[in-house]
Amino acid sequence: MDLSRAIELEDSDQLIGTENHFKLCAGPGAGKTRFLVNHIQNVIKNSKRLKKARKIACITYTNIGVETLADRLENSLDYVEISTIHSFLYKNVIKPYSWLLEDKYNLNIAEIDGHQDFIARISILKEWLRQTNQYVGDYAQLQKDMQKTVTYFEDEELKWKLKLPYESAVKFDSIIEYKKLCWQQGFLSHNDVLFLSHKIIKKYDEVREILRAKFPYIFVDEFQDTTPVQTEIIKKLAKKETIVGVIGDTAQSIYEFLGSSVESFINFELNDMLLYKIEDNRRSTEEIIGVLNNLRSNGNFQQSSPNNLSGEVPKILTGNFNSAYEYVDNLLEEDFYTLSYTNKATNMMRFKLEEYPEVMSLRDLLTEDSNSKRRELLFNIIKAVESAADKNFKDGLRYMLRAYRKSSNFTEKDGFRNLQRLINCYDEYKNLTLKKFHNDYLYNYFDTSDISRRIGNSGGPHDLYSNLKYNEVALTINLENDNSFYRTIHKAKGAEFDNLLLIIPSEEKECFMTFICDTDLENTESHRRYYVALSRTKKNLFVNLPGLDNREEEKLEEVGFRVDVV
Amino acid sequence: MYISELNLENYRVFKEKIKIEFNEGINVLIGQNNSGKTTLINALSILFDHSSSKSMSINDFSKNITIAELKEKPPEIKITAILEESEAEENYSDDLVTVSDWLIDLESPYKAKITYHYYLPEKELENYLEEINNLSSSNPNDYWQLIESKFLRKYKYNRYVGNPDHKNRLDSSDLKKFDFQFLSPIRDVERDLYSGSKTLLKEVIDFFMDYDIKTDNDLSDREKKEEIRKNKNKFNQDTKPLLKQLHQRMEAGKEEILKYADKTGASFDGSKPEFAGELLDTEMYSALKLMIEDKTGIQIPADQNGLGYNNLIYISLLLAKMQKDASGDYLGSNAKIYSILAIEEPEAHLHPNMQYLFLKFLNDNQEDEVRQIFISSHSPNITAAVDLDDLIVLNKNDISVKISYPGRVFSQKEDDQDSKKYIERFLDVTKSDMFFAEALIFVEGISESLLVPEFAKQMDKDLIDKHISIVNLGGRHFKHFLKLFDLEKNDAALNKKVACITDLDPVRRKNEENAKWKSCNPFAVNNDDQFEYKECSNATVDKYSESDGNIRIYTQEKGKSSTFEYDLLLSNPCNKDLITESMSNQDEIEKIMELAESDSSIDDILEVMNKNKFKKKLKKDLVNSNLEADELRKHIIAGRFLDSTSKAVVAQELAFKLISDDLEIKIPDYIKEAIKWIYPEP
Repeated sequence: MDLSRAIELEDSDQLIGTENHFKLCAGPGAGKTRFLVNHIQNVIKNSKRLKKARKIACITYTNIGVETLADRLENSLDYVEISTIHSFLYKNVIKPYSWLLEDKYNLNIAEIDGHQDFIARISILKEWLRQTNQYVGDYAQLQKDMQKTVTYFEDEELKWKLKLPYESAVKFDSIIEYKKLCWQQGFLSHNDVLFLSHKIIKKYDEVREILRAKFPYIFVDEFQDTTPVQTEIIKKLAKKETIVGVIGDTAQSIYEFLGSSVESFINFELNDMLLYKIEDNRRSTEEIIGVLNNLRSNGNFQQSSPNNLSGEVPKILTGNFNSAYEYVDNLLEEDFYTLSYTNKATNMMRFKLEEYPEVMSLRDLLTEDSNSKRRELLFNIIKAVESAADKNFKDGLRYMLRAYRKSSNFTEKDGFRNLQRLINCYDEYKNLTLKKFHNDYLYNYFDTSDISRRIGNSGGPHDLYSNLKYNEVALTINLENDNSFYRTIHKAKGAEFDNLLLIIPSEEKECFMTFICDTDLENTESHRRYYVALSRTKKNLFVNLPGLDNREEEKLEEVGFRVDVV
Repeated sequence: MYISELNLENYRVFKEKIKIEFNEGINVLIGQNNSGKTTLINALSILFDHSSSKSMSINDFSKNITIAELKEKPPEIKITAILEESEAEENYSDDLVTVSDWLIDLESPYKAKITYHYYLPEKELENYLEEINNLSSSNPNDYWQLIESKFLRKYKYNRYVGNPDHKNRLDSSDLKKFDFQFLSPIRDVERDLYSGSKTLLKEVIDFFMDYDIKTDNDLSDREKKEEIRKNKNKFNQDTKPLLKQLHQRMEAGKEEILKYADKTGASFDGSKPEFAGELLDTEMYSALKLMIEDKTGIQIPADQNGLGYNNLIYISLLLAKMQKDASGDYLGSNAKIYSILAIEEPEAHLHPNMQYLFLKFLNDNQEDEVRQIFISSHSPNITAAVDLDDLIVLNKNDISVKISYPGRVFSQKEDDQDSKKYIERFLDVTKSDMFFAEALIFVEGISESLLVPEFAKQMDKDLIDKHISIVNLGGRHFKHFLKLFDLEKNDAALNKKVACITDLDPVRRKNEENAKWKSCNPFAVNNDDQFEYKECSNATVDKYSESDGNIRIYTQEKGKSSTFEYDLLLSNPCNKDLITESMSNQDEIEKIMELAESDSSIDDILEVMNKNKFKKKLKKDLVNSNLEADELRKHIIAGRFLDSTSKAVVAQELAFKLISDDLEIKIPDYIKEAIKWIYPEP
């Protein structure tokens, strides 16, 4: 992708034609969402191809992205379908057409109800190993490893493998048999949605034609985080009738661990596709843009502030992260957000912990319970309660209904009442063990007879759940839609804040300093991660580092920071 | 796209799973009362009318479900429709988008499916079986009562799209793309037109208000809204002086009204009631009344119009509304994609001529506003006015209903296409009766059509009571019409008994080149070598003689008789009552009859006959005949009679005599047989 040949747009309000494929490269704060909203309205107004029932598909990376766009497109929503790639494909391909592959992949279509990542039942794993003549001793490990199934292309054929690191020695060729067993039971993971959609779209021209009929325009936001499967699907649809537009920033690709690749964006090419760029940064002050430009030393892409916003010089605060927090808190009279890379660091900030308890992730923890129904109940209830505690009631209700999915009489209304009940007595059980939480707060409320029995005073479940406290477990929860002031960098994607404190714990310091001294946004994802973090803020930017030597301080000042000790 | 198929199971009159296929465009459903026409339209409304009630009552279950079946499992109702791609559908059509989640067949022509299922949930099953099997009664009503009182409220409905096994539920926003308008036969047009907050008239006026702006392609949506807003504002401003006028006129009275407010304490704290308000254009719509202006310029309000006229006005307004609802310019993606108009018995308020005009109008408008039309009708006028292909005939036999498609009986072969054209040309209002009757008697002429019913009465069988119609085909073109009923050849044919009463019409021609066939006396057939004879010149007779299906041919005994009148006289040779006033040769026939009665010789009879062509021919034929004199006498009378009854009026006179004079007449055997066969067993 040669950005020097890109057409430069004045700003995000400049309109472009509606009947060409396009790729727009725009940095942080360029107003990508604003551009997209303008463009969609332009299409609605001028397109002769929308007619009465056809729509514009708008695919964003996160649910937050969906909501942001939906808010801004309020008056035009009748013409637009905004969704994440997974819900888009589930709604428009899997749900209506998966029957085409019913026999080939043993899909139990009547049982499939939405998609979510799940832990495979031991019974499924055993059956799979038996069918494929494999031996694995450690089932708990296998359960963990089988959550790492990802797709890859081998000569245009989409196949399954395990993502590193994994321990179980299983034949990759046989993973498809495992998948079939899961699908037969109605289990469908996020990656399964992509895999099956790709198979259907590749094989059936009729489905491609229907999708083109439904969506004469498809726009994809955050395209730098797109996966190769997704790209293949979009390319296939763009062959005729459907106009595709993709928007992204190569420097902000941070989801390699989920299979996305920045090359997908760089190499994305369609017939007569036009390449655009916006070099504005309306978000940040010139001081912050200065830092960002210094770190992005690509001559063809240098941002500037169209309104010459000026503010404080970005600051490095060395020392303990709690003192840095207090320093910023005292300095500013406004709210500020705290970002860090890991869940662990984020949670330590959130709960103001000096030391971090040694707990595994909730998923890993629960794999120890051999009762898959109880496992799913607890997992989803905790997620539901924590989401609701974070004021995200929509997700809360969603998880609550999922928790009782196997109970035949549980209605949506029940879900709401149960959530309300658990929120009201949150303080009562937050310090209790999971066993007590289960026995006293879940069991015997509503009908759990199909799901779980009382945990007794001995045995596996007793040993497991007597040793886990609710709040320790809740700590490990990774909420999809995090609205709190303490977030991971990934959860801050697409968001912008007035004031920001980025925490770099000691274990990340070396990595961060390489980012400062030897920036390589093109090839190093961790660098792009920090670039994303630094570019989230409008007015004040603080970075907390544990301690620096003189040479490091100099380097930071060269880039545009001022260094303070707190 | 069009609704190509409807499947029903256990719904009202349809117990057995039944499939009804529809045409694109107009579908005219005809059949006897209670044959299921209304049920079909109801089924469509359950599937496609998003405002229709989806719950069922106990009477919606087919009452033909047996007690044994009820004891085996709870009754359930299934209604399914298939939508299919039109022949010339454009690529990437709105239609395809609308049903894209419903597809069961992706290849062209695509097929989509929607299913309604009314059932007792699985968990109630045990309870149901116990209760129902505890009941011991042979009266089915007891079982239905139990179901109604204990289980009906636990019934649930589901609507699935695509293959129902996949349990993919209907997204109700998909259904909003369908417009289902239903016109019932009994309706209060005035009420529908004028009253209620959202009257039809108001809606239509609202749509067509500022129509120039709404349809201006040069304006963007926002500009259109702005223009309309300006107009509304102007109206608002313009009405202010009017309101001011009201205020002024109220000035004095207001004091009086508000005096009480003071006294009751309604005005306290210095505040006092006041009259204010503004006038919106939409509120003024109700001032616009539908007036009918005649040629002379005299206006009469629509509510003083005849019912029939108002019905037409109503329908035209409804079509205008449907146009509005389908308008993408105005409503964008809320516009209806597929509009369905269902009309029950449009003849209820319409004069036959108007019925025809109305249908023509629907036909012309079918593409634009209304995509598919379903009409249920008892009207032969409507039946006669539409194409055979548009007709769907429902025929109820005991507990099952047979669906027939008259248009599909005909293959592409020339012979069949000729028949189809022939029928469409000659299918007039009277002949259309053949679609409505229970059973039919086809006859050749007016004489049979008048006399056969009277014969039937003599046999104590009233044809009208049993909905048996006599259709006078006015000739021997039976073969075209019979194709409509030939179930042995085509399953689309109508399932009705048809008795054809037809004549042998024996003929002969001289044994020389280019000789023409001429009618001849039946007793002369094959009596000499001078002629080539045919004892029957009527092809229909032999065509269906082997059939034991629903078509039977009844005719005179071969070699002995020739026509209806001839046979009537053979059966009643000396009945002078059969001689009517308009007949020719009355005296002569009377004399012959007298002579025959006294067993006079053939020569004596020939003596009294006038000298003419008939006598000449007769004499020749008599020479060659070896029949007994007794038989010959009858043939002479029958032949002379037939030769004297050319006028149609004679048939009427005969019929009149039969009715009024209580005549004792021996009915010709073949007609007796026909009536016996067609008349249902007691």
